[in-house]
Amino acid sequence: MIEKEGTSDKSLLTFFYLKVLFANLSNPMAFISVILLTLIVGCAIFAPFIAPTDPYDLSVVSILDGRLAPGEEMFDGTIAWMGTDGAGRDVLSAIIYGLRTSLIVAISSALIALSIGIFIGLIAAFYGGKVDSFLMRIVDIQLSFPAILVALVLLALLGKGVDKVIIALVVVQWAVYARTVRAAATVERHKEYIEAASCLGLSNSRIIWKHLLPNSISPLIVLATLQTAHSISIEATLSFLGVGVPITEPSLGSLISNGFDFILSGAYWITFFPGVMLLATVASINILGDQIRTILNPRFTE
Amino acid sequence: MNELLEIVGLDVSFPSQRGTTYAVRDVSINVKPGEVLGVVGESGAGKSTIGNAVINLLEPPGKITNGKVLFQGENISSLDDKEMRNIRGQKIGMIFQDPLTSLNPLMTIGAQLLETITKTTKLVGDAVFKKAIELLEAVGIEQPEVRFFAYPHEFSGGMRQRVVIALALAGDPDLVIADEPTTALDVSIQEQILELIRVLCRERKLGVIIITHDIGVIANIADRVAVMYDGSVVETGKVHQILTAPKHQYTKSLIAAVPRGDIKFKRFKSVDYIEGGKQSYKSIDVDQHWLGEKVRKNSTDKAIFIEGLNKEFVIKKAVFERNRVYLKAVKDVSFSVEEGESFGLVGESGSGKSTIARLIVGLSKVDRGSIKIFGQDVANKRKDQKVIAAQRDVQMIFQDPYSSLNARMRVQDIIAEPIRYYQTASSDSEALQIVGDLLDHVGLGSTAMLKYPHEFSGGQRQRISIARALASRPKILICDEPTSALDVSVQAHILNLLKDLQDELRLTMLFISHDLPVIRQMCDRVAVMRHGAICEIATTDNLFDAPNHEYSKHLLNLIPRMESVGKKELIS
Repeated sequence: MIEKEGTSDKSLLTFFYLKVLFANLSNPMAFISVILLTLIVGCAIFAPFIAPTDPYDLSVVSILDGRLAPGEEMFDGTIAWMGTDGAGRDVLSAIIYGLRTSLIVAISSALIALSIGIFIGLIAAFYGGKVDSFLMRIVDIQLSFPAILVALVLLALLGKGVDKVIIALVVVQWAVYARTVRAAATVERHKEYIEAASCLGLSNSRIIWKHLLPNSISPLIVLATLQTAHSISIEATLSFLGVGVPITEPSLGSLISNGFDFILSGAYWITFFPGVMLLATVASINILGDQIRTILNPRFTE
Repeated sequence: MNELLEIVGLDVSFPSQRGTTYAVRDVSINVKPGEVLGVVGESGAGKSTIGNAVINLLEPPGKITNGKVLFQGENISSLDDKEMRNIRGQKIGMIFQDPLTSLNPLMTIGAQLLETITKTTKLVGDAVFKKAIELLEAVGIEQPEVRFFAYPHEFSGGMRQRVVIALALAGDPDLVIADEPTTALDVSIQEQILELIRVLCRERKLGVIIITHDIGVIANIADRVAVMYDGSVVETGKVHQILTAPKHQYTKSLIAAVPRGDIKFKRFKSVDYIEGGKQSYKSIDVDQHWLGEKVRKNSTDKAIFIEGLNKEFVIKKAVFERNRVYLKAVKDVSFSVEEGESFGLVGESGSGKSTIARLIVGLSKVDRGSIKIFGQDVANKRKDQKVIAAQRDVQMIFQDPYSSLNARMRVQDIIAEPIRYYQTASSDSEALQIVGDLLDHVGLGSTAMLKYPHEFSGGQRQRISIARALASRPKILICDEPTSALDVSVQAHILNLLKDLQDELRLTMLFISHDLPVIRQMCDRVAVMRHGAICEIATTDNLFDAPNHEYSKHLLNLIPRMESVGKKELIS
């Protein structure tokens, strides 16, 4: 009833999206978060069309527009709904573009970490014994270091850049995926259909990828969602500290950092609005992840 | 009042988004004090639901929609939860199926007993402890003062069930409902537990409702029986009368389908009352079809030749060799199976029969000894091409139909996999054609091809497993308790199917079971196993008529004999 296994992937996705949407009708918080998330993702994708100005087009930005309060009019006539920052860039547009960077970094790092984690987790679960112990000890060591610390050190070594941030986030995240996949796969490993596949004489790699993998990834859907939110906030922290993305491709974190200097002089909006946006994004992804977990739980009855 | 419990016109339904399921329809049964009533039926018949309805523990959204339950004259189906709690435990006790999950693993059994006794009786202080020890003695637990402080996981399955019985009797109830109390236990333990229930009930003049799917249990301890099918009671009466002269068609076919240990039929009598009878599907003409291409001409080698097989498992790991504790699962086992023969391995759980099967198929590594399949030694030479080819000739049917199929693959992909992997068909469309034929041949029909395993019942899933095994065109089929998880009626169909396939394809079969009557029907020769060693190997007729080994005699004694029900009536 909840998951119609057997329908094609595309229709499964739309069905799933609508299901998530309507399941949350009774829960206003969750409903708002789904709508909000749709808007956020939409903004990020269609940024060039939605943003009132291009804040990084140096020919348009003018210092004379600097530090305008929210709602005031800029030099060329557009209204800065969320004010402008010190250099004259429209904060709203900066947020929209910044969202884009943040989401790209978070989703790419999640996908790459997911792939690495699945690979290692499956190998550990399938072969068991010494291989399992060895790989899981590496995972344990990785997880015992605080995420921000590792990312900071890596970025200090690698330097600035969006790709380097993605690498750092992948290094920090893969272990969580590996551990989760290995747990689910170990349970499946001992079930009889895997033994039957062995009896049929199939090669180990075929058994791992064709039989073990599809049955071990269901806990990952929720985990990936929640980890995405987590990596957005890690990336924001790194950018705030100045070691993340470069100035030319700011993310929400660096916008917050930029505005920090202005809080005491009264131009609160330069930090405040990006901060609220960050909060809304992370919260709505978390709530969504929670809802997906509830929906996918087979005990969730009508 | 003469009736302890009277259920009148009970209806239980489970409303849901997809529509209402009527689990129990217009059921009326009654129990007198001191009487044992058996409620027998297959899965889905509604028997457990009745047990739950009596003490008002229906799983939501289940509700009693009609009828009433009169206990000692009083209508308890309309009581609210608070009043019901006074009745549960004190007046009505319940014994559940799985002793492992019905006991709290974090509390000692003594603590659980004390808790129950305090709640259900008015005793305090030292009297409570004395009563707990009394109960443990009554259910046959030795050294009760010591075992009082033990945890549930420190007991074996049978002992745990005894503790559960002690808990049920703690409040001195007048009625005990036992829901499949012995299904999870071995045959010999089963006998002891049933004996215990029978003795306790006679002594304390309790009324007992035994809910089970096993007619042998009913024959053993019940006085009267109610037969259920699809939510309604189709027949009630004294056990002796129902078993010897059943009136309803379903009862007749149900009794006939139970494998008998005394004579060997050519095929099991199948229960055709269910689901409108058999549907006939297209059968394959084996001589013409792809399936029959590999049928072997006679060879001089034995199909399976096992010599000095040994397998140990480490149950306590340690760095140094001398500190490790091993469990000898298979001890010096030797036997052989001729081509086309049906060989049985019988024994209780833990005897090593499944381990032997896994060693033959290559799922576990052999410690010592040799396994030869048609002359080719297959022990431990996993990478050798000849070994791989020999092991493809041996396929296995597993016990649990719910975990032996990949839930994310369609049926056609599951069955076609060996064909595609080894490219034994000339094209993919021919492969799918073969899959369709195989599905027809095992009795599922080619409409099953695009479905997923969860859309099928247990018996149907076993058919899919059989079709998958056949897709490799094996010469040897190992059946590891293939019908233990299935109802009696379905069991008959599956076992008949296996016999048909064996005849057509001249398969060699190694049949593993704990169920002796089934072995009698299916096998030519049998090996009896105990604790990893073989006690006796004989032809089936010889074993059942004149067993040699003590243990074989013991096992044969435990087969519930329905024919002896009449004699018990005369004695008691």
